[in-house]
Amino acid sequence: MFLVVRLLIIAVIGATAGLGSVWLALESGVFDTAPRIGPWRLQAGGGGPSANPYAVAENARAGRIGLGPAEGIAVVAATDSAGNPLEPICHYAVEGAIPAAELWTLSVTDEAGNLPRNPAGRTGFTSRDAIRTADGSLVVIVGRTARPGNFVPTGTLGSVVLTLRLYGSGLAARLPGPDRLPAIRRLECGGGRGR
Amino acid sequence: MTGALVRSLIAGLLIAGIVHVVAVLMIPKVAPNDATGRVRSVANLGNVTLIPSDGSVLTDLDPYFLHAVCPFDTAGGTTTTLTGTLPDEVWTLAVVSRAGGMVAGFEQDAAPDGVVSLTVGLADAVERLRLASAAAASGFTVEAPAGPGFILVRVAAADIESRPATLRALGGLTCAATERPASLGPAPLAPLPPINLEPTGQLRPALPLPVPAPR
Repeated sequence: MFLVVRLLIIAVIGATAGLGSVWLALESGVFDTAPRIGPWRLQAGGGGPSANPYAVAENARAGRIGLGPAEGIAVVAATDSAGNPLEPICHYAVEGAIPAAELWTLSVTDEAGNLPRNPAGRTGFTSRDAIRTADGSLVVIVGRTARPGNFVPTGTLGSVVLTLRLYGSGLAARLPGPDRLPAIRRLECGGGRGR
Repeated sequence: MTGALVRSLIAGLLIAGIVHVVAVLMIPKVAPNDATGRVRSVANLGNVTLIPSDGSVLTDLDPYFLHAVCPFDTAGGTTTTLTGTLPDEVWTLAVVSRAGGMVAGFEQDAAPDGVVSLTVGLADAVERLRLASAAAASGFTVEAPAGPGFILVRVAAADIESRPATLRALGGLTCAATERPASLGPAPLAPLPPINLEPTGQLRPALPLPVPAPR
């Protein structure tokens, strides 16, 4: 009888702690080893034998495939450059340099990947329609109420995630440094002033 | 009594570690809602299907691109070939396999004229095509692990005006599955052993080396 109880304890601990730790690891991203470039996190595509198994499992769960090395790179930001989470009630300036690429696109979604809905159908900017400053750098404002210049209305999104995709086959082999990707600066939140 | 319980606790934690590792490694193979499962829920084998970029099928597609998928299943030696002409735009092809992740990718410089012919299959099937068909040699061939997957075609449609032409080009793609010829006998049941000792005594990798993506 005592042997049965012991086996039961072993089985229960093994199953709950084993599966629970998997869930915790995937939800918390504690084993997320993706390179970070300023506020941007490289969204690895592909998989393969050398990929982080936690990233492969998380991508499989979420149905993500990313961009392969031959396609380009995608970087994702859920925080501003100061490390604070992007808040849907705030306005942000995405500003700075962007590496040379065949084409780049900057899109705004929520954490689930839903695009903002607005009459203009504006969900981001690309290298073909973004207005550059005189020195060639980029300024895109993201927020709920309209601003002059390159502006993406976030509408009713409950969270804000920025995804910058750079297309070109050589980009994955030479990742840009933080000074080569735009910074994300919080402007104002709600009715108050930000930084 | 206490010692037995402590030993049970330690044994349980050891089992938990094994369960943890096995579960992490198994999730990509059994997750029903992975990228391949999502694509197969909206697209049939042998058909090119346009999928929306709004995250309803695959969660991380670029909204400034139009996307089409060509599902395949390499099991049994079936090869699948995507052919057609892509517009003079930024485009990429990605071969995604449930068992192997993204196994290959190509971008528009690989076919400057936009004419693409991409064949996916098991290693022996692709090798047979390479040897037997001069036509296949002019296109791309990709060896994928056994099982389902899909070819994802991404074409930039950043300009609204270009979307109709891009949609027509994607609609003109064909996705054809070819069964393994019966004359070749049954398909291999399992991956070959990792090392094959040749009669000459030389070691040769049994699995083919990965084909680098053309630049």
